[in-house]
Amino acid sequence: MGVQLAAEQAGFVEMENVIFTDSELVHHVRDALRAALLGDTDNYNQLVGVLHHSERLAPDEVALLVTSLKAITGAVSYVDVVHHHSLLSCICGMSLWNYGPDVMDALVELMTSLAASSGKYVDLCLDMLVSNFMPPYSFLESLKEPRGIARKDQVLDRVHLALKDIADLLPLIPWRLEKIIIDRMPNIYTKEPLIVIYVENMLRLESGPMGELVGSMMITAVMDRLIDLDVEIPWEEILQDDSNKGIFEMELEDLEVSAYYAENDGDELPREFLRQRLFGGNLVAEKLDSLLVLTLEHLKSCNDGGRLIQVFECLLQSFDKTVLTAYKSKFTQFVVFYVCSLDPENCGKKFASMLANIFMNDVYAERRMSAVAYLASYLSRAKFLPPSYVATMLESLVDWCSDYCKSQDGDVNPKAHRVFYSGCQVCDDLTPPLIIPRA
Amino acid sequence: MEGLKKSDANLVVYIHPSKAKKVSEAILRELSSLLFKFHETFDGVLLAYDVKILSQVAKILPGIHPYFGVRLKAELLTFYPKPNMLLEGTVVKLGQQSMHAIVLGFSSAIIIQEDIRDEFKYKVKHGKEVFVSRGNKRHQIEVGTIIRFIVKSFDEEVLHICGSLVPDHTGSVGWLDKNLEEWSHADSLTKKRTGSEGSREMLEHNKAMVDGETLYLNTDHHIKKSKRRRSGDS
Repeated sequence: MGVQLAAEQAGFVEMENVIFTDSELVHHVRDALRAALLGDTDNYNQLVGVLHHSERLAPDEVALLVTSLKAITGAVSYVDVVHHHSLLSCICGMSLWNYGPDVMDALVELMTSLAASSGKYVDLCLDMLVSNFMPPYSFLESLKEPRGIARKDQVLDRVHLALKDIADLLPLIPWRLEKIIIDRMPNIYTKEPLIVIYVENMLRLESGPMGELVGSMMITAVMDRLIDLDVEIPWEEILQDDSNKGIFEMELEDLEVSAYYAENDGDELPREFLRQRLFGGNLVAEKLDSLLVLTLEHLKSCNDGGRLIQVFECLLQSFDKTVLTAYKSKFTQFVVFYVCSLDPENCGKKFASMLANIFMNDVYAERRMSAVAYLASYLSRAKFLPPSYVATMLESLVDWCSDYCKSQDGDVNPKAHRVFYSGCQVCDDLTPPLIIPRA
Repeated sequence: MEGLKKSDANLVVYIHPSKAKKVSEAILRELSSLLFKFHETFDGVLLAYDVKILSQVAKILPGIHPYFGVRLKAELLTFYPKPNMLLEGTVVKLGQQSMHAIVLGFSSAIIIQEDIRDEFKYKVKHGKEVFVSRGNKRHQIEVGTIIRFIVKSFDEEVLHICGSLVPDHTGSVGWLDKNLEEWSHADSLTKKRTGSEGSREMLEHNKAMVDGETLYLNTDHHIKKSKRRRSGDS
């Protein structure tokens, strides 16, 4: 048997004459694995060799690869974590993105069986599947073409199906998966398409069958990454944007003048250079942009699916933990604002009352000041909230401030009363916009 | 079913000073974090707990963070599968090479081909995969069947059980229970002593199983409660 298979591997000589049943193949692989334990590694090495083919496979090579993967699937209980290390590392190193649907199916099935066969391989398999959230670098370019998009759908559909299948067999898996996903999450320096596709997968998990278990963690992690990108963009750059406008125009005029003289020569280059100088270093901003779009679209789909309330709970928790405590978050809070605009009656009011509650009752001065600042920023933008509600909210703030005044001696000490002052400032900021539309 | 045990424990839970205002909440949170994980101290997986706080006095640890230790008396329900114990689980996947089951709704079990006794034959009936006993056509195992099997090994990290269907008193619970008397009767005729022993053993398993079921319900209740607490916390 072994010799026959070897002949088959050597070049598919007279393939039609050699007929194996599935179980024969499984037995062959089992024998090979068992022999490798005893020191006879010929067949085992051949098997590993087959798996190593990944570049431009001919149809017969594809068939052999699929057959081998299926046979290993049948023999997973014989795989030994120490002695078959090369086999395991080879399987786990395979990227679904490099193969056609047949190999993908076989590989995913193997991962499912391997994960369920013993506790030892669970993390390994989950890790392999999660690493397939992102394509290999070489694939990045074709991700924009229709062919690449089709491949992406093929891969990710299978990865998510496999994760679900594994969770069906091992009910506690979502806990481990969650940890692996967070650990493997690309950092802010990763190329934009990669981080976007990874987050896309996280959000897909959130809305998938495992969402109830891993969803809140996914939302939190995405929010954390948004904050990471957010704080990378300094305030100065945004502020300059406006003030630079004049200069930008002026320089353009200059350019036009010089272009007039140079008769269209060298016009394109400086313009491009200027654009880069003004928005330079904004790779981060671009990433943040794409991720925000992705997140907002996802939240919209949650709203359409009628499960915005649950997601909003996680968002609120995440807001409380990360956004509120982050120093100068500029954009991420708009994710929460957006959800509030989708459902002003529930989410919109809940968010405002949460912030007011933190401001009035929390222990930490920084948190209270930050909460009331966000409250002001939110209420002044939230057209969707009824003015009466905003007025009530404002009234309670004013009440708090006046109560505070009564309880103090009346000395002026910006440091001791900073919470009070920030409260007053908000009242001050918010009152005019409320009065003007009514007048 | 074996492998479940109720025990009384004296515990000391150390609580961070920042939680001093909400001690009971902090205790429950601390204990909830132990659920569904294997602990050497309990020698098992904690499934449920019921806590009584012994005294309002706590011992403060010296140090940068003065954690304080609260003494508790707790009733714990633990799951501790050991080799050769009889467990029950629902089959969720079945193939020629292996059978996958879930025990108590959270722990996964696999029984590989070599550990399924020859009596069972793998067949595909009307597109459904089944293991059918060669002796008794009615003794069948398919997806959804509750099976009784013995433990070969237990992975404490992932809570993964490796099981076996080799002994005669393993298989589909429905069939085993129905044919229990018949089986022990026939057995007692042939091998009087071992037969009676076997039936007593079976009865005991049965009792344990019923116990296990009520306990399980309790567990469910507790877990829900603790979850609610947890969500209430945050």
